[in-house]
Amino acid sequence: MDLTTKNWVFDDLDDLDDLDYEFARDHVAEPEPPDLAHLAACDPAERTRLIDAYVRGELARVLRVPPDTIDTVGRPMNSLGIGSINGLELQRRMEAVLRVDVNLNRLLRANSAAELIDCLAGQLGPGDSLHKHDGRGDHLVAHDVLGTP
Amino acid sequence: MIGQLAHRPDAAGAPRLPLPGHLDVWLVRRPRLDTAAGTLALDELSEPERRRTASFVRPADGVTYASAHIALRRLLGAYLGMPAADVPFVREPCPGCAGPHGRPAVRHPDPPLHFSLAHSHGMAVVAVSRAVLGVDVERLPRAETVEVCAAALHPGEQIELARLGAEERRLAFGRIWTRKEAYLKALGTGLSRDPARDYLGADPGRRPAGWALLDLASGPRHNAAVAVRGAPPERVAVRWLPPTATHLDGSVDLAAGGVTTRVSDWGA
Repeated sequence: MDLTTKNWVFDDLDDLDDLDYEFARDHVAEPEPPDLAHLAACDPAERTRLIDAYVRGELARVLRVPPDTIDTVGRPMNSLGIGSINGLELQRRMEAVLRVDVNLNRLLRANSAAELIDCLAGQLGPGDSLHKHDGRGDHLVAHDVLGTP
Repeated sequence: MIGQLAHRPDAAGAPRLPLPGHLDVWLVRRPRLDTAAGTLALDELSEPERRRTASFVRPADGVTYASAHIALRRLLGAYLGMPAADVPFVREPCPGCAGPHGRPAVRHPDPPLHFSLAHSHGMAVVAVSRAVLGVDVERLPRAETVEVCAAALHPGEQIELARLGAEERRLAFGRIWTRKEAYLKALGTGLSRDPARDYLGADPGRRPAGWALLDLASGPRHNAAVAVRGAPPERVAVRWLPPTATHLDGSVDLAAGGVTTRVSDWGA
């Protein structure tokens, strides 16, 4: 193996990671944003179903895989392929659509996507929900006071 | 590649700690998927590490994780003079809440060396020093990802990115982010500290005082960086770990040839 900087063996990573890297060939899908008023008004099961579909869609977009292949219950976020940069992308996309604060560090350490979905469902329920956090403390998801219309 | 000082992963020996002022960086690439299961020394991983290896959706990520952690154990075993499987891992207290989820270490307090590990899409980096340090490696982000994420950076970093074209911006974002995450890992906070808080952009004079930030050569598809507390290292050695070093019958050679440089030669 060549150990000089001029000829380091980066090129032969091609045989290992080409399929990982060629973004243009990856699956890309735009998730449907849920209606926030409907989320607040619907029953908890429907709210969780809608948020599950949306989070799957965002995970699928950042991971470049079909939404129905996302395992939301059995794997931590890192094992799904979420690292710091695409975790940041996921955080920012969800915050913009759902008008909540998502803690990036807690997101990356979540035991499963279902944990995130449950936290979002608790946060996006009726205004007097006991599950709501106001942004103080170390919560995975919190109420975004400034971002709420 | 296995030299006279090669360390058998199952052997104890004399510790060969890095000298004060020296920084050792080891680049690790994952093996081919079709041969990894039969060649990697998976038996040296702890049970939680083996479970984690099996948990990845993409087999390539699992093999990257496993080869990175085998390499880490074997390298630290060679530095510490102990079998790879026996290398003790502890967590230092979190600087924010004192909980047991701060920097990984081999002992607390007063570890004999400091280390940091990062891996991303086929590549891993292990950095070892007598000084506190952090390392990061990331695959080059998509332009769309940079567009979404840039606003989360320090205002000074955002200004730098805004001046660049799309392709240059991807590269610059990757450099900023890897410096930032290396620094936050070295601090022990990780990303619990707001990424907008610290400037890790192109101007070394504006970066956090008391830290040396080094960009690492890491090929056309990755960015990598190291943050070292205190004065810049007097000597930085960057080496590829040979693929056989993570094999069942492999070993690591701390005296292997590589690129040794003064910190002033680095483009960070």
